[in-house]
Formats: sequence, structure tokens, C-alpha cells
Amino acid sequence: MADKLSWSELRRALANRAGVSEKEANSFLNALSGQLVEALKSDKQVKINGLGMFKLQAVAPRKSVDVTTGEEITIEGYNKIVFAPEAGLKELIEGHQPSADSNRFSDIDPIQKLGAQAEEIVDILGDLGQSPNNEEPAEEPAEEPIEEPVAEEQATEEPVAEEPATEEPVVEEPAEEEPAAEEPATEQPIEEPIQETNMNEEPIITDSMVEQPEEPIKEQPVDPEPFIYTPASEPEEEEIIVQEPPKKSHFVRDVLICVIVILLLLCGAYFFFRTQIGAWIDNLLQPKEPETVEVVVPVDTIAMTATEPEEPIVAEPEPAQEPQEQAQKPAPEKKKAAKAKKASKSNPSQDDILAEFLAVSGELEETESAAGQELTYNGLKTVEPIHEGSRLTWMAKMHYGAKIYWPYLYDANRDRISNPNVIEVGTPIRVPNLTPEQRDTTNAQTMATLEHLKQQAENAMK
Amino acid sequence: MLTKELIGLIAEASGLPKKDVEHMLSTTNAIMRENLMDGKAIQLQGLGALEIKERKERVIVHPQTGERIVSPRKNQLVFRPMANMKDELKKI
Repeated sequence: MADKLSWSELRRALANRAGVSEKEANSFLNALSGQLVEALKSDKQVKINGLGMFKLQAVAPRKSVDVTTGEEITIEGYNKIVFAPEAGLKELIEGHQPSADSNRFSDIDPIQKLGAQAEEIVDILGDLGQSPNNEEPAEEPAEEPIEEPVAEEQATEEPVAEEPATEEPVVEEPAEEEPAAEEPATEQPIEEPIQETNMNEEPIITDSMVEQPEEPIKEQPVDPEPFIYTPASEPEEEEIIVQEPPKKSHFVRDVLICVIVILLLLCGAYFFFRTQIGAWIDNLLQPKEPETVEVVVPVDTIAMTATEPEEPIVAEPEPAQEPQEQAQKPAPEKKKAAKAKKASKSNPSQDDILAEFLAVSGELEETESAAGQELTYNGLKTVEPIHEGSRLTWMAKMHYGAKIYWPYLYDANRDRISNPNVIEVGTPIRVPNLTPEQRDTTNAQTMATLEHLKQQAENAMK
Repeated sequence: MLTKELIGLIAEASGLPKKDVEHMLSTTNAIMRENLMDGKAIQLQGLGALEIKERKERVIVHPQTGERIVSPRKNQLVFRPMANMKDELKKI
């Protein structure tokens, strides 16, 4: 703790600043402290604008032990005054660095003297040598606190060496500018006041004067040389200062490193598993094969890709080879194959499908009821060609609103569908109109009919 | 109790007009502020002292995340009541 502002000093300052007599200031201050206590007693808390809040806090009685007798005592409860500074004042004081001189040297006694005396010398030199000293006194206190904690770790002799050494560059440079002849002249008169002040603290200024009395030099463990190493000592200074960099958090750096590592891992994974990934993607894109579909879900029928529409049977083994290369997961494929389009040469182009459709639909107009059809329908709603990946269930949903009606589609197209699971791409599927009865799922007969048709379809699939 | 009330009490006790008391109070605040900025403690007779306490740098841990942060060096304004304040408060 540095200084204190005493009560009388405060009174004086108040009288001066407020423009009141000392008597008035005195009565004010006395009243202030007195009334503050009284107010606390009555109101338990007092707020003073610009200062803060004073509160009265109750401390509960507690059990303790008499130190001499060892018997139990109860320490009485009491009230204590607690102070919380106002927000603005708190921040003001929180961030404020107290003036360099006051607190900094309080912990470091042995070197403090040295530093304080060094300052004196600098001032004296400044006055006498008329060198620009405005910055120097400020610099020294700034340098010293940084150096001192570091210096304390080192041997005792070294801080002594460093301090005068570091001050010397500042002092010596202006001194060096002067012609050499003046140096002895200016420094000689300095010698005496310095010698008077303290024999211990004999900076290297004396050392520069070899003719000067040697007593101070002997006491000084430092050689005359350090101040010659002016350029050398400066880097030392900087090193010392640099040794204590502010502690930074390396958060951003860490995050960047993690991101880069993750990216590298992804790249590695990609390259390593590229072939397998390619195969997996192809698998997804390609429609499922009939053999595989049969095993999994007979209900969902899937169109097969065909090289030539006229050879449905031949077309089977050809595509069969392809999926055998790729087939890994038949089950999930059924959904994905429906939507995807694979750009493979074996698939007929859209034009081909359309051409075939037109060719077939030419026949269509003649027959509203196909051969083998079990039910009769009220005309055709539409005719839709099978696309790659189409399914009867899906088409049923689209046209009728529910998948369960797909057996009707099968029934209406028995002449064209030998195996509901294997339908050529491009086969035109008749989509008959359904009567409300046929749509009625609550109708037992309808459901039975559907079940019947479904069985037939399933039989055809085997 | 608010500042205004306190000013009223002080005016009564000291016999000074309220306006003067207010003015002197704000002046006192200013003087104290300046001295505190210089690092000086302020002695208040009959009350105690207002001091500056240094809070050195320290490592603090966030209780939930466990994150460690360095709390920087700072100063605190602290009121130290006078020694026999306990007794004073006991008096009616």
C-alpha cells in the first residue's frame, strides 16, 4: 500500500475545492461519518451516489473454544459494515494501473534502493548534461519492474550488473554525443555529489573515468566494461522483456489444426475406399435384379433394364450378370432403384421406350379387356408404359391412391405380364378404372378378390 | 436509505444548508476518486478506511465446462471499518 490520504488532508482538500471554510468542511465530514453510522443502524443500508452502497450485515453467533481454558464459548453475534463500490467507480479502479512508483517496488527491497538511486543519478545527469531526460525517468521504472523479477532468479551479482548496464545505454548515448573533451569535465563535478549520496551505488559513470578514485570501483563488482557493451546490453534488455510475453490462448490455432486433421482423414478415407464407394453408389443407382427381389419381397415388383425389348427372356441373364458384380444389399435397393436413373448403355433410351409404347398402344385400342383377365373393368383410365424402376404397387398408388390395388393392375395386364416381378421396360400397362366397390376396402368381397388376384400374381412370380 | 435522505440528515446534524451539503459531498467523492486512482487509501474518521487492494493474476476454472482461464491483474476498492466499529454499532 502506498500512501494514505489522512482525514485532515481530506478536510483541507474539501475546503479548498468546495470553496468553504475549514470549519464548515470539518462539520460536514464529522456529520457525514456520524450520520452514516446512524443511518446504517436504522435502515440497514445507505447508498451514496458516486461512491457505493454501505450495508449492515449480521453475523450469527457461533460456538468456539476458549484458548486458555479449553472450555466451550459462544462468540456473540454482531453487525458489520460492508461496502460495495458503485459500478462506474468499481470499473475505474479495477482496470486502473496505479502509478508505477507507488506499488511496484514495495515487494523488492534490495534492488529498490538501487533503482531509486539510479533514478536520482539520471536526474542529476539530466540536469547537468542538459540531455533529453523526459523519457528516461519513465523508462527506467518501466524497465526495472520487468527486469527485477527476472533478475531475482539469477545470481545476485548479475542484476547489479544488468541494471547499471541497461541504464547506461540511455544515459551514455546522449553523453557520448558530446565531444569527448567535455565528458571528463561534466562527469567530474558529478562524481562528488554521487559520492556523497552513496558509496555503494557507484554506477559505471565513475568507471569511465579511470583516473577517478578507485574505492567506488572496488565496491562495484561490475567491470568498467559493461557500459562499453552498450549495443550488447540492449539486446539483453529486449530479451528479458520478451521473455515475459502475454499469455495467449491458442484456441484458434487448435481449432485450425483439428479441422485440417479431419479433412486429411476424409481425403485418406476417400482414396482408400474409392473403389468400394464407387461400387456402392452404382449399386444404389441400378435397379434391383429379379432374382434378388424375389427372395426379399415378392409384392414389390420392379422393372428390369433390357437391352432389347423383343427378347425379354434373353434380357434376363444379361442384366443378371451386372448385378452379380455389384449386388450387395438387395433389400434397401428396392426403394432407391425406383427413383434413380442410371446412364448405362444397356438401357433403352427414352426415345426407344416411346417408340415401343406407340407400337404397342396401336394394339391397345382394340382390346379393352385383355386375355386372361379375370375381372371386368369399366374402361381404361389410362395406359402407362413401364419405366425403368417402376412397380405395380407404385403405379397403383399413383393412379388409385393406395398400393394395395396393384393386383388389379396385374389382372388387367395378364397378357403382358408373365411375371409381375419381371416386366420389360416400356411395357404398356393398362390402368383400368375402378368402381367404388372395387376401391372399397371395407367390402369383404373386394378384399377377398384382391387377395385372390394377389395369390395368382405371386404364383406367377415363382 | 438514499443519498438524498442522508444529505438531509447531514444538513440537520451540521447545521449547513442542504445545497452546500450536496455540493460538499460530490466534491468529497471527486477528491476520493482521484486519490484512489493514485493508489492512495482514504481515511475516514469514525468509519474506517477505503483502500485499494491488488488482485494478482490467477487461473480460474469455469465450474461447468472446466475451462481454465487466466483472470487478469486488477484492483479492488475495499472498505475496512475501524477497529471498534462493532461496539459503535451496538450502541443505540
